Amino acid sequence: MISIKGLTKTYPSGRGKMTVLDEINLEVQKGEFISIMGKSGSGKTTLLNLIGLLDNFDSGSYKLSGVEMKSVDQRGLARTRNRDIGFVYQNFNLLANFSALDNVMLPQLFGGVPAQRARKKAQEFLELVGLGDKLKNRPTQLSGGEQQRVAIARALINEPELLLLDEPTGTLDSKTGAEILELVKTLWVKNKMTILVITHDREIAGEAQKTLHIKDGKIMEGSAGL
Amino acid sequence: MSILQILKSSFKSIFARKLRSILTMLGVIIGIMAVIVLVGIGQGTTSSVMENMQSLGGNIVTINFRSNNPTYDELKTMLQNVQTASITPVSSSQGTAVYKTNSESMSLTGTTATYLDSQSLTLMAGRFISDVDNENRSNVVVLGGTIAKSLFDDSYKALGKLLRINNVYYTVIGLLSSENSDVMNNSGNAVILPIATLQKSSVDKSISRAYVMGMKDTDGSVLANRINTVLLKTLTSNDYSTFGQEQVLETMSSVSNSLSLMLGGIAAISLIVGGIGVMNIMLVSVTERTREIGVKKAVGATTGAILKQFLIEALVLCGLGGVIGVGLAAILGSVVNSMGITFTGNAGISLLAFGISLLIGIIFGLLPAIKASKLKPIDALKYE
Repeated sequence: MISIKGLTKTYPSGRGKMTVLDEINLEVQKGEFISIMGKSGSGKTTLLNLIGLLDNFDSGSYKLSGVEMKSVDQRGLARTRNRDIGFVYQNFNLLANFSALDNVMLPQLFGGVPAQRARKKAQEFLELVGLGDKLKNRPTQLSGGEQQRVAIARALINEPELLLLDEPTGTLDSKTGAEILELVKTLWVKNKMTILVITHDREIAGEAQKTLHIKDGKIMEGSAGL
Repeated sequence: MSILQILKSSFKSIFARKLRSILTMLGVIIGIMAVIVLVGIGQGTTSSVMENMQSLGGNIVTINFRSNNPTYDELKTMLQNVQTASITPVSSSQGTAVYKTNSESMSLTGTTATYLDSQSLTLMAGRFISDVDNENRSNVVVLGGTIAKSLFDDSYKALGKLLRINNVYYTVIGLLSSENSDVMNNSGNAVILPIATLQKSSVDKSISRAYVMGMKDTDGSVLANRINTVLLKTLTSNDYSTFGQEQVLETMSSVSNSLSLMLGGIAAISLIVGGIGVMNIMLVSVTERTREIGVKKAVGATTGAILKQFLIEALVLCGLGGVIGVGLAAILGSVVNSMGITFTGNAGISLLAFGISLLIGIIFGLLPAIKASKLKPIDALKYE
């Protein structure tokens, strides 16, 4: 599913460059549930952003489903983000002026699905995450846990093969966090998509099949499996 | 996304940010309204002045005598070889009119029947002095509505009554409408007698002024030239001056044009200020929109889709503002009209103002959007 070789990412820092990811190698099989752990600043979020095609890298190779992403144009990247990748952020990134339903519909609309069908599907997905009664609510009218459920519904509506979660429970209390985790697990069991989740939470990491530890831009040796 | 959906989402987004939308539209509304109303007033004033002037007759030449004033008959002889529709003499003198206990001092105008047409006057009641009145030196008088009212309390009562002017009794035979009385034409206070009647007791039969109306197809300036040619055979240029409507028209039109230009300039400034307002709001809202763009890109929107959305949104916003602006201008125009200032709507100017506003909206709505849509999704998402 994911094949990363020698992936390097630097940021300009003062006069020089700061290496955030240093020749990362990573293989992820289809259907795997992997957690990524590391201190803040270790480069784990950058790695997830690169995998999610939100950012670009300096050198190395990143193949998604066998296609080298470095050679895909902007349009192709947009299509891949739309169809193949779902992304869930720590701070939800919902559009404040849109209702839950409209937020969830967005990926469908950008994928060219007619509005009526998109709306119906968005409703199904919101029901799936337990928000069937809050379709018209704006993000500000929802609790943190509910907002994250909306974000998960949005990430999944185009039925991507890859779901990326960047500290999905980071801003939630432990009970709500546990519920979100439970939801993700249920969806994983049901849909068999590949999941990469960044977390500080050992409990979440424990649910994953594999845990990667990142330190100073490198994946630590022997971190696979717990 | 289909255009229809983008339109729907534009309206949604416009209504979601009401204050921002109103502020943006306000610039467009005020700009368009100012242009249409000011240019409309400028053009309306110009055309109403022109109409007024032209209603006085485009080919009437006024001769004012300063010295060696001829009599009416002498003037007719001088002008016998000039083709004219009418020659209207005017002889003036002062008088005091008395009716019962009311008394008014006034200037008297002695003239002929053609005075009514050459001065574009209208009768409110009765008849104007006729050629027969002049032949018979009848003691008849035509009064302006205002003066008739002050003498007879009710102007209509004056008709047929005897009015004593300088101790001679005159029958009031007609009343002039003072409706289009203005600076140029003070018909409300006119007291008009047959010229022969006015001059019958005086030795001096000379006239002070004459209105010469040309034939229908004679140009005013041509007529003035011919008149000057024949008058200079017996008079010098110091004795008289001619004044054609053409000259007045020319002067008035140049005044009106500079008025229009000035109003247009003020309007253009409003439009520019409005445009700057639109620009400011569009630039200010970029932070918010950049994150929105980030979210949309992250879920798979292409740059093209995002730009299309922003373009349509700017078009809808400025178009809506433009329509409101044109509507308000029409309302304001009719208010201005009812206040007595002529307002002429101008479709060309309205369209131009509308187009400029639209252009401003698109440019300044789209520029930040283009910049933001070129960001990497992660940078747009993180934008603060």
